[in-house]
Amino acid sequence: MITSLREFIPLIELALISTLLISYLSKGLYKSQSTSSIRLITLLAVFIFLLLPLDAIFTGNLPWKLPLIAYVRAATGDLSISTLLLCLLGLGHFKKIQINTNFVFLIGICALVFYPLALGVSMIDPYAWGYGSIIFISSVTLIAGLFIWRHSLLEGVVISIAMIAWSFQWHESTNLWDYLIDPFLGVWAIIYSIRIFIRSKSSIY
Amino acid sequence: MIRIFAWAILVIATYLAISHTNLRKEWPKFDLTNQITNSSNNSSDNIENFRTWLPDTAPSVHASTVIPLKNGNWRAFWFAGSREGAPDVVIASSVFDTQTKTWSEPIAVIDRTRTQQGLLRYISKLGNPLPARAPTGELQLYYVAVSLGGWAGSSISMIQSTDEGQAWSKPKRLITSPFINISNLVKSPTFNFSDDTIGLPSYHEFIGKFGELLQIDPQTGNVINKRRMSSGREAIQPIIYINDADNAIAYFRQTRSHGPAQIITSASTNAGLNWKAGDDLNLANPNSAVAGLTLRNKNRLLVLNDLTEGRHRLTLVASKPKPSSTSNEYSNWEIIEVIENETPDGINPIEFSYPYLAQASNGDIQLVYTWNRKKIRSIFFNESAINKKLDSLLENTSGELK
Repeated sequence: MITSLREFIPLIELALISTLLISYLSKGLYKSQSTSSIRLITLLAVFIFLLLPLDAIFTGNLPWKLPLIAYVRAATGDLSISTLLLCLLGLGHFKKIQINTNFVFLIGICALVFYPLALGVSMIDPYAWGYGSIIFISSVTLIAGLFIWRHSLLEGVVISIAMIAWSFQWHESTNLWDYLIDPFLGVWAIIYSIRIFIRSKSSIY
Repeated sequence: MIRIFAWAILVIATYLAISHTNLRKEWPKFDLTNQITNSSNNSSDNIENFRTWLPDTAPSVHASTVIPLKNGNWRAFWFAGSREGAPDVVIASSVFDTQTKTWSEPIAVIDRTRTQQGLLRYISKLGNPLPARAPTGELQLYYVAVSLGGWAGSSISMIQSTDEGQAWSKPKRLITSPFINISNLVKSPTFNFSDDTIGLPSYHEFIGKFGELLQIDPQTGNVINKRRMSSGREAIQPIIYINDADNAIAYFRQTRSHGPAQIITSASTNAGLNWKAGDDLNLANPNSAVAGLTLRNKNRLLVLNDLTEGRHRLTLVASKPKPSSTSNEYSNWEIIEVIENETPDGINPIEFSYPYLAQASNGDIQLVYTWNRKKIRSIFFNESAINKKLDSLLENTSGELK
C-alpha cells in the first residue's frame, strides 16, 4: 500500500499543532532563559515521536505501522486552515497576535448556526454550499475583503489562504467549509466571545 | 505595503476559488440507461427461486449486498467477525457462479488494519459494505469505518477494483460532514447520473437521523455535492426509486421514538436536487432496513419486515405504475411472497433483516439478507414471474398488503 507524501501533510500539521500545544501548556515548567535550547530539543523530539509509526505501544501488535499522531487524527479529523494558521501564529511565539474580536464573534455565531443545520435540524444544509456554490464563495470573499479594508489584515489573509488551500484540495475534503472552520475553532470562538461579553458587562457596572 | 500584499492574496484566492467552482457543472439528470451491466442477456436456467446460504465465515455476519458481474456471475459482500463492531470484523466477499450454482470460497476484501493504513488514522471497526458499478466500468465498494464510539461515529470509505473484485485499491475516505466527518453511513444501492457521476444515498445517525444524497466523482471518489433528503431524527437508510430523468421517490427506515411505525417517504422532481417529505406509506416498519428495486418495466419491488415490532417476518411486495395516470402514480403493494415468517418464542431472538436487492441485465433478481445474525441467505427471483404474479394479484386484490 503506497502512501504519497501529500497524504502525510495533515499528520505533519497535526503533529506540529500538538507539539505547540504541549509547548504552550508546559511553558511554566521552564523558568529560566538558559533552558530554552533544551526546551526546543525536547519539543522537536516530541514532534518526531508523534510522527513515528509506534502504534505497537498501544496495540501490542508488531510490526509498527501507524504513526502515533494517527490516533489523535482519529479523534480530531483534519483541522481547518484557519485553526492551523491561528494556532501557528498564536502558539508559535513568533509574535504576540491580536485577533479582531469581530472575527471571533463571526466564527462563534457561524458555529452556533452552522453546526446544528449541518447536523440535520432542518432541510437547509449550509454545508452543501461549500462544494462550490458561487454565492458562498462570493460571500466568503466579501467577508475577507471587509476585514482587509478595516485593517484586520491577519483575518482577511487567513480566510484567503483557506480559499487557496481549498482550490488545491490541500486536505481530503472537497468542501470549503472544512478549510474555513472546524468544531474546535467554533468552540474556542464561542467561549472567547462569551468571555469578552462578560468582561464588557462587568466593566459597565 | 502589507495591506497591498493582503489584497493581492485575496485577489489570487478569489480567482483560484472561482476557477475551481467553474469546473462544477449544472446538476445532472438521472441516467436511465446504465443501471445494470453484465454480459448475459438471457435469464439463467432454473435459477428462479434458487435458495442458498452464503459461505460461513464467522460467528456473526450482517449487512450483505450483492452485484452482478460482467461475466454473468454475482459477487456478494457482507461484514463478518466474532460480533458486530468487533475489531476482527472484515468485509468478506464471495462469487456466485451461475453455471455451477455455487458460491466461491470467501475472501476478506478489506479489514480494519488495511483501512487504517490507507486512511492514516486509527480505525476501530468496519461495517455496511455497498458495491457499485461506476459509469467507467470499475467495481467500487463503499463501506463504513468507525474511529471512535458506535455507528454514529462512522465515516464512509471507498475502494475500487478493475478486475471485478479480486484486487482492490487503497481506501479513500469520503468527507461528508463538517463535524469531524462523523455520522455518515451507507446501506442502499447507488445509481448513475447523466453526467457519469454517481448518486450515493447515505444517512446520518448522530444528533440527527436523516438521509442525504451524495454526488460522487467516479474518477477521484471525491464528494462533489450533496443534497438533504430528510431532516430531524426519524428517517434513515433511504432507498431510491427512479421514475424518469427528473422524478424519484425515496423510502426510509423509520427511527421514530413515537409516532406511526410506517415507512417514511420523500420525493424529488428535479433529479434529486431538492427533496420534499411526503406522506408515510401504508406499510408497517419496525425500525428496520428495507430493500427496493425498480424493474425494467418500471414495476417496483420492496422487501421489508411488514411488522410494527420485531423482525421475524420478511416479505417481498410489488407495485406497478397505474396505466391511465402519469408515471408517478403506482398501484397498491401486493404480496408476492412471504419469504420468512416465524413466531417469536420470547427467549431466542428471531431476526430476518438488512435485505438487499439487485438485478442483472438478463432480468435475474437476487435478494440477500441476514438470517438471525448468523448466516446470509440468498434467493433468486425471475423478473417475468414476478410481473405475472403481480398482474394476477392486481386483478384480484385479495393479496393486497394492508
